[in-house]
Amino acid sequence: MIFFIVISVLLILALVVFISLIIYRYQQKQNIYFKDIEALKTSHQNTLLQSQLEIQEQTFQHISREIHDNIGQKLTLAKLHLNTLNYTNTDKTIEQVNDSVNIISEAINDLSDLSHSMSSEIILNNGLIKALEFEVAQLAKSKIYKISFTAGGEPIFMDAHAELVLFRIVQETLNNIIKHAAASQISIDLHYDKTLLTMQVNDNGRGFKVNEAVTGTGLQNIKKRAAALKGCLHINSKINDGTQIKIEIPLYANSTNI
Amino acid sequence: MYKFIVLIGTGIILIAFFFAITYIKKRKPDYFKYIFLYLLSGLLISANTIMANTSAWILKNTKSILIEQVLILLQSLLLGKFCLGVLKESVYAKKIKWLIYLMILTQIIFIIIVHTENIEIRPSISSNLILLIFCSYYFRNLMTNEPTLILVKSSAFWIFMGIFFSSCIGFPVGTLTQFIPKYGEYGHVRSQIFSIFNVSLIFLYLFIIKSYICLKHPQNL
Repeated sequence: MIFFIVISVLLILALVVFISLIIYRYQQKQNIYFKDIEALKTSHQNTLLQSQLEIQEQTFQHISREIHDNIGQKLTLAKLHLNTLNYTNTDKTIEQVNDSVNIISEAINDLSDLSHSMSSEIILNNGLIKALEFEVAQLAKSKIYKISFTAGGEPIFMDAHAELVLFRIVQETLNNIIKHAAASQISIDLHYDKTLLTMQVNDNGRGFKVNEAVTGTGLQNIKKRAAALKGCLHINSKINDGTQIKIEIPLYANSTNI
Repeated sequence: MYKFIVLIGTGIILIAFFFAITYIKKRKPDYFKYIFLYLLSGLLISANTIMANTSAWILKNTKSILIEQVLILLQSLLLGKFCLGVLKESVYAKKIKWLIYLMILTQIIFIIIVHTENIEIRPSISSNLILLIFCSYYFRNLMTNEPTLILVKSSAFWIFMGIFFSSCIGFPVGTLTQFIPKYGEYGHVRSQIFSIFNVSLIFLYLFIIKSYICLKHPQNL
């Protein structure tokens, strides 16, 4: 009987020690793992913040350029019209005033468009898809481009900052197309998988040599922003055969529930 | 002593079975179907053991032993399937599948040998050894994968602990059976050693109860 009790107690003690040891080792590993995750999250947030500051700086530059080159010019022209009014010639005066009103209206519209495209409110309030739809509609208004936008898969709400960075990537890409590509067709495709968001912007413009262009500021910005979202950037382009820019963003790193 | 342990064991199996019934409709990992069947066969083994010890039992002792061995074979298969169910995503899945075949084959061979050659050996030793290998796979998997589990709330962890404990004791007991004298001065040691083995099995069933209780929490396997 004593033999049974002693052996049983020893075995049970061994079991308890073994279970405690396993749980202790596992929890040690778990603590290190969670610390790593936390550090990774902090570093990710820092990169995102840095990227946002860069975006802000570029936005200011863009606003300044738009005001100086476009709205400023129009207002100057309107002022010129109004300054040269000849009150003796009523017909010409009416024509000049009407022209001035038209120019000022255009300037107001441009200002409104600029304000809308620069604001992050649309992203915060309506999400990435709506913001892109708006951006596409704005560009379609110019009637220079045949532009399409599709969103596939089951949309997953990402972190608002991440969505903003993604939105700025599209804006930068569209800006590059407008400035350099001389394209007539643009398509933007967004596809949500369970773990991956794929965004593709295609144009039928003049294309470029990828190796030579990756050092350009525009593409560097896109690359940096994609990296801030832990994403991958793939650029395919051939001279006179359009350009395809594909960005893959892991959703687990940017979803709202991190 | 032996009978007392068997009775306590039967009581624990009944409680575990009650838990299994209670949690039958709750959403749970797929491998719990093997645990449910394991409990059912455990009850049958207990019933067989209790009836074999009563004079009214119509079957001969050898037949009762055969029934027990076949049920233990079934239990080994179910525990093997459970291990495969838990580790199906791991790199060990293929090895486990083959080891289950090996375990069943060797156990059948042992059963045949015991009944034809009259050699006293516990056929379950092969399954105990192979289940120990499965446990080592589980622990290795646990320590190499991302540690996202809360171990004390993981059903699989507790069942593996039970399997590990019972196999750790079952393997040496099964292997040494023929070297322990049945009668004479040390005859009582035999029944005490088997009682220790049965206590280890009781722990396995207690851990199964614990694993059912863990189902109250979401399982992240």
